[in-house]
Parts: sequence; structure tokens; C-alpha cells
Amino acid sequence: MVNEITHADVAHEKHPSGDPHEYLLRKDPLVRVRHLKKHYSAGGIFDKKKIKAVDGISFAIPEGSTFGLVGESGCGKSTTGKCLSRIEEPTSGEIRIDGTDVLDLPADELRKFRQKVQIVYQDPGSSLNPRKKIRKIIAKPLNIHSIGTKKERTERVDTLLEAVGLPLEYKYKYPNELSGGQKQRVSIARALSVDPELIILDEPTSALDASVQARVLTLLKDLQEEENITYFHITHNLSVIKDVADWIGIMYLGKLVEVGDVDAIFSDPQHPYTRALLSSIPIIKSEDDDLKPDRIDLEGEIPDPENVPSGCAFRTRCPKAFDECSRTDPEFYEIEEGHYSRCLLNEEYSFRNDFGD
Amino acid sequence: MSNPILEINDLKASFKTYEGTANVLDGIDLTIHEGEAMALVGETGCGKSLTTELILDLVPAARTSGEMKFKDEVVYSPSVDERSTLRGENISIIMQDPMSSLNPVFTIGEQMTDILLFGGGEKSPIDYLKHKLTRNGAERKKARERAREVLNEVQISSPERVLSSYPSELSGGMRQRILIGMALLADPDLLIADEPGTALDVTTEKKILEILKDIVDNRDTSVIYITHDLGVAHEVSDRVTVMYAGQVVERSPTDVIFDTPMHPYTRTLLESVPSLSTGIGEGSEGSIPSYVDVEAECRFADRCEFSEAACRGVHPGERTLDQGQSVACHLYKQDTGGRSADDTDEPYIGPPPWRTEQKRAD
Repeated sequence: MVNEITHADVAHEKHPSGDPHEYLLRKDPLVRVRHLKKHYSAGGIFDKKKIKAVDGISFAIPEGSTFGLVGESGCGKSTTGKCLSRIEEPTSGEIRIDGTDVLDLPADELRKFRQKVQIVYQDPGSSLNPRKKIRKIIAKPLNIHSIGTKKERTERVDTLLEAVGLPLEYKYKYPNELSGGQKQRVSIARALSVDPELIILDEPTSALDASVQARVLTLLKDLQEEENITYFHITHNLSVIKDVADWIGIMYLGKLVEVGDVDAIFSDPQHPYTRALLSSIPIIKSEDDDLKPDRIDLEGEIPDPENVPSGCAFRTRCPKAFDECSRTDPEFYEIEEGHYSRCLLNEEYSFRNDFGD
Repeated sequence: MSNPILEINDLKASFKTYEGTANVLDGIDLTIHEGEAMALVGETGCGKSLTTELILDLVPAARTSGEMKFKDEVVYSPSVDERSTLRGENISIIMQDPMSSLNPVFTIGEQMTDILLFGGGEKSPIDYLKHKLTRNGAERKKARERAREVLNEVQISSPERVLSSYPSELSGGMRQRILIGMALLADPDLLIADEPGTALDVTTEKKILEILKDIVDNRDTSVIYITHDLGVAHEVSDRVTVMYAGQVVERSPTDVIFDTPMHPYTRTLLESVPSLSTGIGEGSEGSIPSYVDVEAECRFADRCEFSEAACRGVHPGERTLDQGQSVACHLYKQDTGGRSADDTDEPYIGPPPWRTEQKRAD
């Protein structure tokens, strides 16, 4: 079994050269996340089994930009989002948002702090209270944070409805009278109500049709331009993220495997997992065919998070895996400034040679 | 062209609601040929799932009219017994949501063998209990053997382990494969796949669609794929039928429709698919009209930038164009094959602007 070979047995000559966190820190970030870990205990009292949902990830989000976190379900991307607003209590690590050490906040300050961080959830159907009218739903965060007088709140609801492109009479409706896209607009209006600096978008459009999705994404982009909001956009759909994100992190089993500028990752993906994700995007235009890597089939499914494979966690499904992969969990390699990938292959040669051009 | 396996003519369906009668399906015609993969495309609520559910008679509340032929036999409103054999043995459906379509308290093996032992025909609970209690060893074994075969076919690597698992022990991709397997148990001639893979990740979805496509090609089964994702339709189907608000607006071979979409609605749909080269589109304004009081004859008229009085007053009817496309839109002249186009008394607004632009460019 490969598991018996420890790191000490392997001659280490590789010098990982990059740190995406360091790079993003230079970009005047609003959010800084360092070595974030969230472990759940999976066994009983005596069983110390752990599920490492998020296992030491570091990144930063420059102010006013969008960071897209991409990965399959179960890779820990939503947990990361929840940790950012401390809905989930991280096991260890450091989160700083706008200079505040989030993990250090006592309960009462945490509540105040959450004004700055809002979430839009995936399923607009179940994240709106079915028994409240739209105006109550949108005004709720204002009530919680006691912002403004009653009259000011009513006015605020009107401006918000206008901002997200809903007719004013909708404030007297109930969520079930709205379509999926409209409900998601209400969710966005609610998140905007307290003037947040960071909005966590947890798969905001994956429950919507393509035509509605396009409109919601356009709305989010417009709002960002107007209000200079920072987005943390979680999704499993790479074709959506290309147009909306400035930075992308690809996540696999609790760890980031590739981080970088959106154009760099799409034009020159370096991690086999990123390439597999990109190659599985269904396309309808022939010109898109040239933009995605040759098809890569992944073997099997995402492994059981209780028994993460040794070395590089992706090796069990990687078409390029070789012996060394089971022993070494690589660090980030700098492909170029602003593009980092964590694959042993990145040191020896770049996938560029593989393209055949 | 091979023989049609299923023909639907002028299918209408309405529901009684508090607001009045909702006329959801407005004269749907569909033909599926043997060995053909057809994609039924449209946004949520346009009636695509309802159409297929009506084929299987799964919507007792609907008031329907029209004619449906399966292999040249008229099957609409037959007796319950006939319909359930049709449902079990000739037509199978793969349900959309792999999370909720399996019974959580039975193992996969039990659920699959039950289909084989009890599928088709009505059975009372007493029959079921009798069967469970008296050990029909040989029969049961045979059914299990068949279940294992089918699981192999959907590329499940350890069928024996899966057969003795409960749904909660399996991943979404696995469950979706099992649902495909279950639909294949009775060797159907027509398979209906209702948004297969929509609930799954991109990589898993891709795999599922490939498995399904392989199986369909090998067996020469006909399939109807229901999807709102044009990218999916592009990868799996031979022919695409686009629906809008209970009407068929365009039908076309798959390789043609993505290059030359004819109906304005098809164009907006295509434009809103996120693309690597051009990014996400603008999307289209508005939503499907309420089915209770649809006024316009062409139901897309309210959202269409080219709509004129004729669109509201007269239903466009289907116009045949070259390349095997047909479209229900007043923007097009019927290609009448030699006969003068003036013979048709349906109004004609004029060629859509994007076509004249194209011509000028040529």
C-alpha cells in the first residue's frame, strides 16, 4: 500500500514557487482568508474520525471584485462561504474582512458585523418566508440592525425593488406569487438592504432557467458597478463564472487546486481537474470548441471525505496521475504572475505543451 | 425515414383552477420515429413535462383532448389495464430528481425486483404481501439477476453492493444511474428522460448523458429528452422541438437549429446560454403568460420584438422551411414547393430583420 510511505522517504527537491494569497494581498483586498479549516467529527465520542470539509485554504478578495469559487458538490465550497460570515464556526484559521478579525468577534459585535456580509442562497423558493409579504422580507435586515425610521425603511424598500428591476406593486405580494427569477431578485434586494460590503452568492442561479439566469447575472454585475460591492460567488458551473468573476479558485475535496485571474485560468488551465471541469461544459457554438481543452473523462466520483486519498487528493480520478502523486501533496506553483496551480506536473512541464500547438 | 413510434395530434390539456380554466397545452403535435432522439426544449412552466406525463397518463386532473398513437394503434384514453402495460413495458420515464424519486425505506435491489415482479397491471396490497411471504425463490433470483445486468449496463462497478444499499447511501450520480437502470428493466421501446442530470454537477451530468446516449444507440431505443438546457440538447439529440407556453414554436434537426434559429423565441433562448466566447447574454424580458387568460393567438407575441396585430389575432400555424425546419411564426412564408405562396391565407409580416441582414452580408 502506498499509504505506508511517509513524506520523509521521498527525496524532496521540488520548490513550490508561488502563493496566490500573497499575490492577492497586494491587490488591496477586502477579504483575507488564511489557512481556513473546518473539520466535522464523524465518529462517536471515542472515535476521533474527522471530515475535513475545508482543509486549510487561503485566498483574498480585492475590493469591488468578484472571487468565484468553483467545485463539485461536496467539495466544501458552501462551507467556506458559511465560514466567511461565521454561520459555521471554523475550526482554525484567520478571516479578516475590512480589517476586522471575524473569528475574534464576540457575539454582539458579530451581529453588528454581519451587516457588512450578506448571503444570497441557491434556492429562492425556500429562502424566503412564505408567510411574509415581499416588503416585510426586504425590510427584515433593516429591522434587525435597527436602521432608519419606519418611513425611511419603506422608502428604502421601494428603491431596492427598483434597483433589482421589480415593479413596486410586488411589495404587497407573497413569495409564491413570484417566479423563480423574481424570487431571486427579492433575495438580492434583501441582501442589498443593509449596504453590505461583501455578498456571498451561493449558487445564485443554478435553480433558474438559462434565460432567467442571464438576467440575474447581468443584474448582479450592474449592482456591483454601481455600489462597488465585493462578491464571493460559489458555483459548480464554470461557464457562468467566466463572465462574472475577476478571480477564480477551483476547489477539490476541501482544498484549492488552482487559483488565478479568470482569463489566465480559462485560456491556460494548468490543473488536470480544472481542465476536466472546463472540458465538460456543454457548448452550442462551434467557436467555443476551440476555447476548451480536449475532453478529459474523470474516473469515478469524488472520494469519501472521511478517507481522503494520500498525497494529492485528486490522484484517484486524475488521468495524468503517476506514482509520486500518492506520496506528495504539492504546494502551489506559480505559472505566471496571478496564476497558481497545485499539481506536480506543473513543475516538470506545463500543459501548454499538451495542447499540440 | 423510419416508422413513427409515437404520434401525438392536437393534444390539448386544461386544468380547473380558482381563477378559471387554465388552457395549458394548446394543440401539441409530436412525432417520434424509431431510434430517434428528440429533445423537447423550453423554459420552466412551458408544458414540456406535462406533455410527457400525459403520454403516460400520469395526470388524472387534466382535461384533455387529442389523439395519441403508439405504433399505429390509437391509445388515447384506453382502459386502465392497457395503459399500465404500455407504461410498464413500452414506455419508461426517467424522473428528474434522483434525490426524491427513490423510496428511502427499501433497498435498491428490492425496488428493482419489485418492478419486474409487479410491473404492469394493478396489484392489490394483498397480492403484494402474498408474494413477499411465499418465497418465490427462483423468480426472485431471476429478477435480481436481471437487475444486476441492467446496473452493469449503466456502468455501476459493484452492482451487488448497490443492490443491497439504501438510496441514502449512494451519491446523486449513482442514484441517477439507478433510475436510468430502472427505466431499462422492461426493455422499453420509448424512453422519456425528464431533465436527466439537471440536479447534478457538470462532470457527473456529462457522464450520465454519455451513458444514456450509449445505451440508446446500442438498443436502438427512441428517446424524448426534456430539458431547458440547449447545451444538453445539442449534445444528445437528433432533432429539437422548442415549446413556448403550451405551443410548439419550432422544430428542426439539431445540427441546423443552432446555426439558423428561426423563431424569435428560439433566438432569445440561444442567446441566453452562457458561452465561452461571447459570455452570458442579456436574457429576455418578461415571463410566460398566465394560462388562465391567454389572449394572443401566438402566445409569444407579448415578449416578441417583432409582434404585430396579426400575431395576436391569428395563430401562425406551422410553416415548413428548407433544411427540414418548421416554425410557427408569421415572419415566415410557407415553402410550398412550387405552389405560389399567396395560396396560403395566413398573414405574413415579412422576413425577420436578421435574415435580411444575413442576405446582405452574403
